[in-house]
Amino acid sequence: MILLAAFAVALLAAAGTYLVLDRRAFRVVVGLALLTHAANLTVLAAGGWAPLAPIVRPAVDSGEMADPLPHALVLTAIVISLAMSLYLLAVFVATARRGGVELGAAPASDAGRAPEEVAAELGAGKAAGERG
Amino acid sequence: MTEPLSLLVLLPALAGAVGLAARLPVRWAAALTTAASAGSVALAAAAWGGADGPRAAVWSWAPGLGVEVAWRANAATLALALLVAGIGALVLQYAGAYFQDGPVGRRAVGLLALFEAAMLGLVLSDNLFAFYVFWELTSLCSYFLIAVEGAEKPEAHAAAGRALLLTVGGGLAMLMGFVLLAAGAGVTRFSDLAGADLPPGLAVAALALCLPAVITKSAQVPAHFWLPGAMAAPSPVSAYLHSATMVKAGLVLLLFLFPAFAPSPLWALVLVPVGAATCVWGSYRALGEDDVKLLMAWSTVSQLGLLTLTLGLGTELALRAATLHLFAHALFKAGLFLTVGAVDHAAHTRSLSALGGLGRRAPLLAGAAALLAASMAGVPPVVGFLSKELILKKAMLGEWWIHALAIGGIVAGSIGTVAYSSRFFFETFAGEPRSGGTREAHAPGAGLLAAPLLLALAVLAGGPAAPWVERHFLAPVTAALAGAPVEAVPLSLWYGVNAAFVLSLAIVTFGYLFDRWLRLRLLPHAWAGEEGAVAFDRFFDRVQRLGGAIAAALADAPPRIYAAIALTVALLPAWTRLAPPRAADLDGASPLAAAVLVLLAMVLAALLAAHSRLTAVLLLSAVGIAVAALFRLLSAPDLMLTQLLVEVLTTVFFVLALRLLPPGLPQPPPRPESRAPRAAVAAIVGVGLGALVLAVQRDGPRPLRDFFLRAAPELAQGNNPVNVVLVDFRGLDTAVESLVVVLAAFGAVALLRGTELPGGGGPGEGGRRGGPR
Repeated sequence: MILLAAFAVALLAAAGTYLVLDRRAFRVVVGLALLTHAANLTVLAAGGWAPLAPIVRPAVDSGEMADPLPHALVLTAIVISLAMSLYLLAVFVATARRGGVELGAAPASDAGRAPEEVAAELGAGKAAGERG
Repeated sequence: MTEPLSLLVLLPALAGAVGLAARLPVRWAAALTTAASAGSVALAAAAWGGADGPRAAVWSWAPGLGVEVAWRANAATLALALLVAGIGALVLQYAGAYFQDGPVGRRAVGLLALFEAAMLGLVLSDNLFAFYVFWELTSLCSYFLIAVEGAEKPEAHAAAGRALLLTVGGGLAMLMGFVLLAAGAGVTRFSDLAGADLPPGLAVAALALCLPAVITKSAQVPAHFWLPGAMAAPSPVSAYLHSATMVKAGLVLLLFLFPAFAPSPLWALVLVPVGAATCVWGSYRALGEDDVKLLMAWSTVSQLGLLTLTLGLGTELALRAATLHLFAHALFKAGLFLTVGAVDHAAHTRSLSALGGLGRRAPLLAGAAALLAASMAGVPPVVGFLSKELILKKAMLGEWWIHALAIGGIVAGSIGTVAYSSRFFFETFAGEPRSGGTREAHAPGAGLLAAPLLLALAVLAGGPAAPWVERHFLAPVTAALAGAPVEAVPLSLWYGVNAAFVLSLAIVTFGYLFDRWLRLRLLPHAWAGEEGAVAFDRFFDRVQRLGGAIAAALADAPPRIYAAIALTVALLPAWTRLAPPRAADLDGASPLAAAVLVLLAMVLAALLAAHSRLTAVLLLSAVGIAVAALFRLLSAPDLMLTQLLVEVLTTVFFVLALRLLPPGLPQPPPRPESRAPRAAVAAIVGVGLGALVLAVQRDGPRPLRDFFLRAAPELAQGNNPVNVVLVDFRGLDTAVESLVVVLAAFGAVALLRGTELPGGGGPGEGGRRGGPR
């Protein structure tokens, strides 16, 4: 089972990396989500395989049970990765609404404008948000 | 402070710090630090002959890594401490008379005392890492002391920078060697090194990393050029750091490494040629130098080469000879530098072509200089003769080519040494004054005379006192260094007429004659360029420009380039752990699990090929469900449930986000040209992480698992340890985690505000709610 998990980790990590290195911002967000899956599975699989879930029951040998510690760590990580994915999604949407969908390039609407000008507009947007 | 050795190290440090902080006048600061050094001398003398060997750590910083401060008190370390503190006391007393009151003198005296403390820590440290820290502290003190005169002397600044870069660079290599020793063989103390059973490969690697430290710190060719450059420092600094003590640190390291590494083939192979080259080159340059102080600096280079060469021979007799000469050289060279400082003070010049005839104006100084120079030249009966003869005797034995090189180096270097010693003495003190300043020279005051005179008397007494030196100093010190008493003919002024004596006599005679009659004919214009320093500056300049070019190339790079570099660097090393899976890795594998894996692969392939964002979102959701199934197959039902809930939420939010996008947003086309490098990085990351999963698998007891399975019902009344860990054992952590989710929601709202589209939906409506628990 660990071997299969290792394969799954390899596939998820490779696909995630490939997407993260894309120019298109949405693909980067999806790639990061895949990478978090890979990381979670890595931590879980590092704990090894055991046939039974870690639930304390009478007359069950603890040697048959999985290690609960990685489970607890990964459970935390899943929730944090949800928060991170959604935050990145918000970044993507906010960027797209300002006209940019590629990473590493200035938003299309900003092309040919001085950086100070863009910064001033962003500051104004913030001020407008505070009023609203 | 139960450990007197800690006090020994701290005393000069405290005195120096007080002198610097309180802005004491130079005389008072010098008196205070001299007294502190004398206290250290007394403490070292009191510890002499006491309990031998390593002691308990006085301060543990990282006990698990073996990083701690622990002292080692044996005859060798205490003798070195006596030398450092003793010469320190003399130099500090001298500095009080040498410097005029002012910021330069104040700084110099305080820093000299701080340096003394660092050097004492270095020689007394048992722990390798503490030794490294003290080593770098001496480099740092040296930097500030060379440049002590501040912006008035830009060339001193440049020289100080070169010295610092070289010695600290060597120190870093040494640190890596120490880490190898600690990680590979569990050796973190010098006292464990001798008895340690080092794997041969590891021993060679550790030694190869320590040798650059020796070569740079002890100014061996080709890293020797920083030492003459360091002569921009005031004379007391040069006397103490750049002749007697700091430059000996490299040799001290060799002495400490000797028992474990001397049999290694690398030892003689590197040290003998390097030492011989340094010895000969230093002598040659000293012969052509006009500035007395630079003459002494080159002479120091030469003598350090001689010592390295001798230690490089790798036998216990060589160790004995080198030890004696190390101490002898510290005494006479410190004395000579202080003499040069006094000459400079009296005649206001250090140029040999302007000096001359000082013997009549300063007879006491001339007497001291005569004894010290004779010791350097190895003339009987002063102590330099003893040590040099011991070195010559040593070189007579053993394997032919190493010894041919050694004898050649020693003889050539020594002839040069005799010649420049004679040149220094006669051109400074004999004959007629060759300039007005010298004609009006006055005898130096008692403050400048005391230290050179004392040191001269010490080297004079050392010769006739040979039996005493042997019994109370050389035998115990060598025994402590070698780990066992060394069988040797006892030290004596007169062994009878033998080859070494004849050679010694011939060297002295020829060297003297060479200086008197041959030198000006053979070396009318000795080469006196600034070799090394210029090349070093050019090299350093190139390194900086290369760094600038890399920075310029990367500064504008898009984030994905950084991501590619970081991921590659992080996971390429994991490829070294690639190994065929163990049989146990297939435990629990089922056709169902294989089917899930195949499904996952197909979904991922489709995801990579998907062009529409909506398709990608749906496929991402399928990936999450496959991962949830894997969680179940790995016996983690809690994770499966959480993952499914999270997946539903994620999908909902992604679809919502797509609705918030401006209508008609173009889908940028893929760039086919970047596919191959991306695929390569992806393969590196995927295979690396998969290999790591397999590499960390361990059989055997799992105490943590057993603890949680036992503690969950006992301590928290819960049968599900995963839940208990989250809400009970690490409850605070989970609470903070909820905070992270809330913060992400606030962040998302803040980002989306102010991005309203002309006719579109509201700003980030709905916001983000907390996690699923």
